[in-house]
Amino acid sequence: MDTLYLSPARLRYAAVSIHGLPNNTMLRNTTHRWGSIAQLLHWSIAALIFVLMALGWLAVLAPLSPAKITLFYWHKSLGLLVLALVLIRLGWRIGNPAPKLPPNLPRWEPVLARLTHILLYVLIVSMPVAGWLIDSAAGVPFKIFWVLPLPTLVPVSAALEHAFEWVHLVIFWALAVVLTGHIGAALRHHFLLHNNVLRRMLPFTQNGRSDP
Amino acid sequence: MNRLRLFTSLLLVLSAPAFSAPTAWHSLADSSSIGWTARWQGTPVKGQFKRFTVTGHIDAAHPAGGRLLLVVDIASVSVASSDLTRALHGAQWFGVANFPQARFTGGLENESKLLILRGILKLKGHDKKIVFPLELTHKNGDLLLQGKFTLERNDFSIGSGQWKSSSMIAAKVRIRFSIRLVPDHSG
Repeated sequence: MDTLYLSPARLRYAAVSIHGLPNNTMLRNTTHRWGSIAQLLHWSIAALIFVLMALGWLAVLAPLSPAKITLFYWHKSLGLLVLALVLIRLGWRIGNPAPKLPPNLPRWEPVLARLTHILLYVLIVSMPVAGWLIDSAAGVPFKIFWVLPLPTLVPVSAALEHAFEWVHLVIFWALAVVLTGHIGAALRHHFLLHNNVLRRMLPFTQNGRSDP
Repeated sequence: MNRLRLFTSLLLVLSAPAFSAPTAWHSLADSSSIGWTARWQGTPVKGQFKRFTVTGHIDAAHPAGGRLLLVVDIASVSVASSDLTRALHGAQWFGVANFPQARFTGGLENESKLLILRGILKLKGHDKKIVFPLELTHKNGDLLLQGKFTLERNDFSIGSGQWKSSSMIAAKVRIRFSIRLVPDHSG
């Protein structure tokens, strides 16, 4: 079933089939596809990252007002949610080997892919940690989703606050660059190389014939 | 007999300054504090006024009837975060530029078993009558005044405009003070 070729039309049909999910849907990763858990974590973290980037810039640019405070509460709360999710993702990834890459790629490509993914994990973890440090040094009241107090990591200090703000900004730009490469590479695999690299991370989708 | 009585009376009158309780007092900055706690979406935020003076006339043995004057340098309002401290100086909060001082004048009274302070607080251009209980204890010839009470910040337009609603910052602010008064002649 995995290797059955599906035209774009058939692919759409499979995605909305009233008989439910394609019969190659697994919770755990296989050699050919990411499992549903990995997919769920991947896409929810991805969506949250885009929301966080928008919230972060809006919060920083807003004039001092109750709205600015509300934006920061959402930004910080969702940022810590991403931290929790990405640590779960990392644990799941370590316990679940990744699907194999397509066989006919140049030698540098698997190396670059692995490096990019390691870098993504490092950046996605260090962003909220830097944010946590800013919050601690700023000494402003905050509760995660207005409920859970956040332990402080450093004493209140304007100098530390500005230092960590700078770190958070630099990591933001690094993450933006690496994400552009990551998304560009996925689209390249799909539209130029016509392999399953993108498809296997998509839920409700079957791999095409060009499977390894 | 009359001469003895006259002599004793003269002695008492002449020694009166040595025996009378000191009546004029002023606060010791290092041993005095005025702090406040506001609530920000449920989280307490603690701050203080670092510079203030209390002066007054109190008979230490019979405090009721004593009078006090408190003058606060509003620019000394501070919280842990320097960004928040700066924001508090602004026009929508304490408006330091236009209202650099707060003043409280009041009198000590006995009310049932409590000692209370009743007076008028002038803050950010608003005058309000306030009354609250306090503890007065004697410490080595000094007086220690301690107490806590609640103020409504909107009574003084502190947190005005977009900050007026209590959904972000509660309307009630808790004030806590500990003032050490020393007699005037001791410097």
